[in-house]
Amino acid sequence: MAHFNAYGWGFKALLLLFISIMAFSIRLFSVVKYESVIHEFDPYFNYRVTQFLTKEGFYSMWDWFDDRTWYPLGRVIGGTVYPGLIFTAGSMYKILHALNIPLHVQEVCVFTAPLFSALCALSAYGLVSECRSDGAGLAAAAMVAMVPSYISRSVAGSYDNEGVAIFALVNVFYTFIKTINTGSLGWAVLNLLSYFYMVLSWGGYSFVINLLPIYCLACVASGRMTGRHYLAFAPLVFMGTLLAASVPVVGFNSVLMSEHFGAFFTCIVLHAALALRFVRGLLPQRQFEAAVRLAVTAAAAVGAVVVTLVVGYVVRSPTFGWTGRSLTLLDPTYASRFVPIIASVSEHQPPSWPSYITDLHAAVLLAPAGIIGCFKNLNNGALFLVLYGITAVYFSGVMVRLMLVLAPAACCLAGVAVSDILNTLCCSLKAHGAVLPLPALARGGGDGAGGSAAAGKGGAPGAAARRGGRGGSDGGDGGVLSSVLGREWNPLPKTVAIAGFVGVVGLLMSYTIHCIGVSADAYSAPSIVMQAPQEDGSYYVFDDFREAYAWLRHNTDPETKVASWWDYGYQTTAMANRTVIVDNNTWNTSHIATVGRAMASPEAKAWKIFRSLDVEYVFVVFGGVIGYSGDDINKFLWMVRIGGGVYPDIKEADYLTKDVRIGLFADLSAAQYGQRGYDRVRGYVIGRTDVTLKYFEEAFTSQHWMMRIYRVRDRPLRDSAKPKSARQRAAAAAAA
Amino acid sequence: MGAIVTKVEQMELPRASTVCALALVSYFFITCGVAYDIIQEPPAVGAEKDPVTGRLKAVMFMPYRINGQYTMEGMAGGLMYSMGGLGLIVLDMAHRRDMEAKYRKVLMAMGGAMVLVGYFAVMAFLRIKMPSYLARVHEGW
Repeated sequence: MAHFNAYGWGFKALLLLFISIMAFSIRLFSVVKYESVIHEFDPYFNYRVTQFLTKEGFYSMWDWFDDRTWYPLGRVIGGTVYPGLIFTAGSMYKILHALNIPLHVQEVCVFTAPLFSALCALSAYGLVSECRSDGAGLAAAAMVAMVPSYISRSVAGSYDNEGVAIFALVNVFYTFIKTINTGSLGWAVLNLLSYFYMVLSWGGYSFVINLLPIYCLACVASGRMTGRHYLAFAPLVFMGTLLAASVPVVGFNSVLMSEHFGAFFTCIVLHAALALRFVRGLLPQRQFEAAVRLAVTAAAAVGAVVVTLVVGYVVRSPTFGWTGRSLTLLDPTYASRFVPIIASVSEHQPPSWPSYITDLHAAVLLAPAGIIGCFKNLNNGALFLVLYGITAVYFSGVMVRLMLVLAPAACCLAGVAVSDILNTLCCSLKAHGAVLPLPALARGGGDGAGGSAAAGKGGAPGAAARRGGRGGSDGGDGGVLSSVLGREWNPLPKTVAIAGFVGVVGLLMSYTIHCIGVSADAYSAPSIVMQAPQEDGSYYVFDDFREAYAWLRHNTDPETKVASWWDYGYQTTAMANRTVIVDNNTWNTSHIATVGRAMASPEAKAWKIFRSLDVEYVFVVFGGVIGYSGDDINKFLWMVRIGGGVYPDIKEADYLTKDVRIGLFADLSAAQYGQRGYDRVRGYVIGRTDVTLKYFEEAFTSQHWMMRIYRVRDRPLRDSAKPKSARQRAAAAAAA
Repeated sequence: MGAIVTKVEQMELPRASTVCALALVSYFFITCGVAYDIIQEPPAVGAEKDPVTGRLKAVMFMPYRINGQYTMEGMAGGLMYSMGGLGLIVLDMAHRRDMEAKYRKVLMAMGGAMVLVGYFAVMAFLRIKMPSYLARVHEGW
C-alpha cells in the first residue's frame, strides 16, 4: 500500500523481529518446566542418527546399515529416513563448532524446531504479503507464530520432521507465488531448491506436488494462465522429479507412484494450453477453429490409448499405485479394514470437533471470511490461498496429524480476514473524522512529500502547511478509502465501528491467551517424564522410563537383545543402547505380529518365540499403580489385532472378556502385584493374584511399577513335587 | 465428435458465489468431524444412568476426551464454527453501497449476533466437555 514511507519500513522490520522472538519463546515452556530433554519417541531416533552424523560424517551416515534394531533383520538407515532435519541440525552443529561455540549436539537438536518456527512465521509473512498486502502478511505471521497445532509438533525438544517441514512447506509456496508474480528466473531456481528441501524433510511433500498441479489446472480453467506459471511449475516437474529421485527414501517412487502422476498430467495440460495460445496468435479465426477440432480429435485418440495404459498399470497394484498412508487420506476406511498398524496410531485417527477449536482457535472462525476476502480481490496468489485452504481443510478432516498442514493455511486466510476487517473499521473511523490529532508525518497518507515539506519548514508557515497537508490528506484519504474498500463501501456508523474494533482486538487477545495457555499446559509435556500436581502447588515427578533404560544400559551385556512393544524401540536404542526386536519405524508387519503373538500367548509358547529371536530381556509398561493410562494393557487389543492379522490362530474374540488372562502379557504385568491388588487405570481389583512365572524371572521394576523388565530364563524352573494331573496319569498308565 | 467439441466450447465455469457456497458447506461438514463419525461410528448421543431414579439420561457431550465425540455433538460444534464464519460474511454484505438502508441495520445486527454467539457457544461447549480447559492458567508452577 502506498502508505509506507521509511518509518513504515523500519516499523515492519521491528514487528517481524518481535514476531520471530515470540514464535521462539512460546515454544520454550517445556525447557523451563522440566529440562532441555528430547521428547516422545520418534525424536529419539532422529537424535541418534544426528549423533552418528556428527561423529562419523556425511558418507558414513548415508551408507549406514543399523544392526541394532529389528533384530535379526537390521535396517538400512540411509535409505529409509527423510534426512532433511538431520542434515539441518548437523550443519548447524558444524557451523557452531567452527565458530568455537561448543554446544552439545542435544542442545542443537532441542532448539532446532523453535528456530525454524520463527523462520516459518517469516515465510508466512512473505507468502501473504505477495498474495494480498503487507498488513495481511503481518497478521498472518503473528497468527502462524502462535497457532497451537504447530506448537504441539515443534516445541523445544520435539525434534521431529515436522519442525522443519512446515517451514519448508510455507517456503515452497512463498517462492512459488513470488515466481509467478515476478517472472524472474532467479526466483524459479530458489523455488526448485525449496522444493528439494521439502522432499528431503518430510513425506508430506506429496501434498505440495499435488496441490501445485491442482492450482495450475485451476488457473488454466479460469483463463489466468501465463508463461510465468509455466516458469514456476515446469522446473518442478522436470528437475524436481530428478531431485526427488536422488533422495534414497523416495527413489523410483517419484516416477512410479500415483502421487506424482498429477504433476505429470498437469505438465502436459500446461504445454497444451500454451501451445494453443501460441497457435491462436498465428492463425486467423476460422482456420484456428478447424485446427483446434483436428487437434482435439487426435488428442482424444492418443489420450484414450495413454489412459488405458496408465489405468492398466495402476489397477494391477492393489492400492491403485498409492502408498498405504496416502490411500488412507483418500479413503479413510482403508486402514481400519486392511492395515491395522496404520489404524492403531492415534495420530492417524480423524479429528473430532473440539480438535479444531483447541488447535486453531480464532483461525477456524476467521478462515471462511478470509476465503471471501480472497475472492473479492482475486489474483494469482489469492486463488492459491483459497485452494490451499480448502484442500488442507479436507485432509485435516481425515487425519488428526494433518491439522498441522491446515494450521498455516487457516492462519494465512485468517490474516487476510483480520486485515480486511481492520481496514474497513479504521477507514470508517477516519471517514467520520474520529481520528487523533497526530502530526502529518506519522499520519502518512498519500502525501509523504507534503509531510516532509512540513517538517522541513517549521514555525507558522510549517503549521499552515501542516494544516493544509492534513486537509489535503483528508481528501486524499477519501480517495484512498474508496480504492481500498472498492466502489461499494458505506462507512459504518461510528459506534458500530468502535465496537467492532474493540471486538476484533478482544478476539485476538483471547487467541493469544488461549495459545499461551494451551502450549503451557497441554503441549509441553515430554512424555518421557511425567508430573502430578500436589496440594501445596509443587509437582511430583515420575522418571520411571529413564530409570529403567539406565538400568538396562548399566546392568546388561552390550550385546543383549531386548523385546518390548514397538512404541519403545527408538527410546531403547537411544537411551539404553541395546539391540531391539521391533521399533517405531513399523516397516515389517510380520515381525511386529510375531512379538504381538508372543505377548498374547501362554507362557510356554511365548518363551519359545522369544528364544527363537535370541531375546534375553522383555519389558512391559504398566500404569496400574499411578494411574498412567497410556500403558501397554490399554494397547493390548492392538497387539492381538496386529498379531491376528498375520497369524490366524490369534482371534480377537478370545480376549474380549473381562478376564484378560490368557496371555503372557497379563502375567508379566501382574506378577507379584497381587498384594496391592487395585489397578488404578482400569478401576478394578486384579482378578488373579497368584501368578507364578516359570519361564521368566523379574529383573527390575521401576520405582512406581511403571516399567517392568523380565529376564528370559535359559531353561524353565522345575516344578516342585506336584501331584500328576488326570491327563498325565492316563498317559503314564497308557505307556505302562 | 463435432458435438463434443461445441459442447466443450460452450461450457461455462460456475459462478464465484456458487463455488463459495460449496466451499462453506464442505467446511461445515468437515469441522463436524464427519470422517470420525464414519470410522468410529459413535452413537448420536451418549447415555448415563441417573443415580437417583435409575433411568437412562441422554448425555450430549462425551466428557473428558478431546479426541472423542458423539455425532450430534459434532454437528453442534461444526454449526457454531460455520455460523461464526458466516456472520463475518453477513457483516461484509451489510456495508455495501447498493444495500438499502432498512436492510443494513438488520444485516449488521444479525452478523454481529452470529459472530458473538458462534464464538461464545463454542467456548461454552468446550468448557462443558473439558472442565480443565484453561482452568489452571494463572496458578504458578
